[in-house]
Amino acid sequence: MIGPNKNIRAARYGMTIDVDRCSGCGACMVACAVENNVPPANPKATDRTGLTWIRVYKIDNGLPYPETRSAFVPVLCQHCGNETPCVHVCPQQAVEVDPATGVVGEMPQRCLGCRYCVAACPYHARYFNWWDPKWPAGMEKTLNPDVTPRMRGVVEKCNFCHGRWHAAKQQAAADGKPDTEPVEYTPACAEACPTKAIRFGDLNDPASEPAQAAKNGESFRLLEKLDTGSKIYYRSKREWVRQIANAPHPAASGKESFHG
Amino acid sequence: MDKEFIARGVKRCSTGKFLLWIVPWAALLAFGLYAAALVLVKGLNQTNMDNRFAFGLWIFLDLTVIALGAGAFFTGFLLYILKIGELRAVINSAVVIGLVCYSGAVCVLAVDVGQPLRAWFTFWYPNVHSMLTEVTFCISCYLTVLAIEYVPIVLKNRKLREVPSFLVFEFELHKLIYVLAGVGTFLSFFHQGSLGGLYGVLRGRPFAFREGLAVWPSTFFLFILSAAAVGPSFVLLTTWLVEKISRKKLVKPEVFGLLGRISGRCSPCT
Repeated sequence: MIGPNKNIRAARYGMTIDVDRCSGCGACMVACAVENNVPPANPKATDRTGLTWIRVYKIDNGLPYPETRSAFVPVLCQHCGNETPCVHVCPQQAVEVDPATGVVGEMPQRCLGCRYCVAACPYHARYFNWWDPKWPAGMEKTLNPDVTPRMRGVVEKCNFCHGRWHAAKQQAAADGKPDTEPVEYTPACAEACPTKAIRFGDLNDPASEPAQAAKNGESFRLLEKLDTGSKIYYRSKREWVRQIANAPHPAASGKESFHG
Repeated sequence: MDKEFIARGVKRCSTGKFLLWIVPWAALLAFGLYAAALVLVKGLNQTNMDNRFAFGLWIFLDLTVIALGAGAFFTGFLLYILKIGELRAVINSAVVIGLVCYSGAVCVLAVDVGQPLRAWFTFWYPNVHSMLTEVTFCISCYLTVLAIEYVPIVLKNRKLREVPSFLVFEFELHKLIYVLAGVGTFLSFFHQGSLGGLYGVLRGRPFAFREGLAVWPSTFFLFILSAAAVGPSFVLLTTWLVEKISRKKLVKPEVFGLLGRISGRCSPCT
């Protein structure tokens, strides 16, 4: 594993996602797939074998009409900063936390496809390539040249648009900025969100939106009790949304409240 | 023609009878090869695994097979290290069973993973924090030890004994067999334990990561104990089955009793 470098002013990229603002349109999922060359689903794929780096879940409060309330929760890799569950299980170091950015990176070229990390991730944010990636004829021309498509039999997941981070680094170098400073950029999902529910920034920068939102009383993280040090802060004014994020035992609510 | 290769006093059955006997196993093997070919050619979508159940039932089966193969290391440990001489009668069958179980598990694991050709990456870029790295290391090392332990069985062949250098080799190997048994026991203890720890270390998955008796970190030791319990009893079962099917007395009843007692002593602990 890579150790921290004292000469670099490290960033800790993170997000704040306003659940109350999310309309569940799925623009983030589409933008992410286009940016990161995520292939269209195989015709035989089910909701459990498809590929997407960000998935919008619909949740409800479990009450009968007219008290039913629902909300949409986009779930992507939470980029856990505290003993990242997927990193220490990978047998061949294909998953690593970049100390310079805090991003949990996946190296598909080294991945064995054992899926131990998929079993280890509490957020179901990791996806396995069950099929060969295939694009409809002509669509391969729309592939993003900055991102390598993945092959069959490896695991992939959100990397906070690594291609865009690279482009931002190059731009910073071209502008004569020191390489040791963090750069500002926006991942595809945050850019595409029409309601601006997804905001991206550096948690180490107190002025950034995620850092501000993290201090907000309405903010919460998914499964906070697991102490994974997730860098995605959700927020909602509604108490029941915050409750569900902490995954009470299904028996307690008497109803499975998640829908794919 | 192959008369010379068969042990004295044993007669070959007719070709028809032989073929009839191997039909069930050949059918089973053909089914397995077909399934493996499906997965290797078309991909893991042919299985019923998905992103939520990323580790299928057959991976558990792999692990079970390895636990069953534990008879090899545990019998070797009892015979060569603890000097329980009666077990010499079953050591050969224990090693054969171990070799079949371990090599089978390694082959099935190669089908299990998405990119089997990258299996060597685990040796090139090992992540020392991963239980799976440890399992891979121990299983492949132990398979090598088993293969070496298997050599004396092959060298028992009458025709091969006529080659003097083979006899010398066997003699030298015999002096080393205690070291091999020790190494095998050490490796086996560790990987049986890490198979138990495989799920225990999933700290993000509360259903797997629980503390207390019967769960992490006890699973590490419970898996070793249960392998020690199930190994000899599996050796007992297969030897007994072979006796019944071939209608030949292979082992003294006292040895069966001893194996049963060893297995019985270990199982209450688990």
